[in-house]
Amino acid sequence: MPDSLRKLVGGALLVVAIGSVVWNTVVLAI
Amino acid sequence: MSMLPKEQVLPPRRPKALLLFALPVPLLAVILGKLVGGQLIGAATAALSFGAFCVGANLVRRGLVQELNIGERRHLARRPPPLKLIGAVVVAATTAITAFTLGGSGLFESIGFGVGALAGSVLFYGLDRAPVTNARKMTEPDAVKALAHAEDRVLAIEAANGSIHNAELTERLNRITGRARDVLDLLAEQPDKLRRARKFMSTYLDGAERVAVGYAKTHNRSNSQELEDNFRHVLVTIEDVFAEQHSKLLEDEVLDLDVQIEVLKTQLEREGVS
Repeated sequence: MPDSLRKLVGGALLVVAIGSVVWNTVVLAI
Repeated sequence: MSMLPKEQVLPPRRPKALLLFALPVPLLAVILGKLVGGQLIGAATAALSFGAFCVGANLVRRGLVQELNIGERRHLARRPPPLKLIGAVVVAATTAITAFTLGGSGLFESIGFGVGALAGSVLFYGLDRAPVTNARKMTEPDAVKALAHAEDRVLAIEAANGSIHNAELTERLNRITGRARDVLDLLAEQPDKLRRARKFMSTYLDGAERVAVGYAKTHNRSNSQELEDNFRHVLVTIEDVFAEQHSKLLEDEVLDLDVQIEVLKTQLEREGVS
């Protein structure tokens, strides 16, 4: 996998995984 | 003598792992909201989660810095810890536990988020690169340390070289560090020769480092032609001796460089660059 694609996929995964969890937590808290 | 323009040398960019630090920031609002609402346990849980995210992100950041520092090193006394991987595991575990305890997700969904964070971190920041080393072949810990110490000297010369803006002198220093690395690689392959090269490691490498660092510092303040000439003379001597050391090691000759070492010492003192 080319370096840029690897970073793109990795970044997207991070944003989706951590972002979703943090977002859910915020929504539940307010 | 061609002098390169004294351009501003930017320091290498320090990796920060910003994404990992930024993503959990909204948790601060959760902590604040729960505190205001009097939900102390909820606030503490969110604070723990935020803290754990920061610990994981910091480990990944330290792993990136470590990788930068290791750079082209080939002789390390110890294998460095896989900080990026440890950080990724901490972030993944925190993601899963946060999803389960605070995010209202089920067990399998939470594990899925954790796996996603782990895969994302590993893909985005990469795995820790293991330095290529011959040190494992060595049984004597002193030899491994001596090589690692010598490589530190080479790295210091290279760092000093980065702030010298004179094409000829930079080229000379490049040849010297290249030759020094050849010698270190040879000694790593054949550690039995290490004892005979001790003086090379202590006197020459240390001397070359002292001179290069001293020149890099001084020439930025004063542009004396005399200093430059003296530095050039010393570099020529060091270059010759490094080449000779390498070929003598290759030829398996008993080293008789002590005389030249004395010559270099005297020269360093005479030229006033020591």
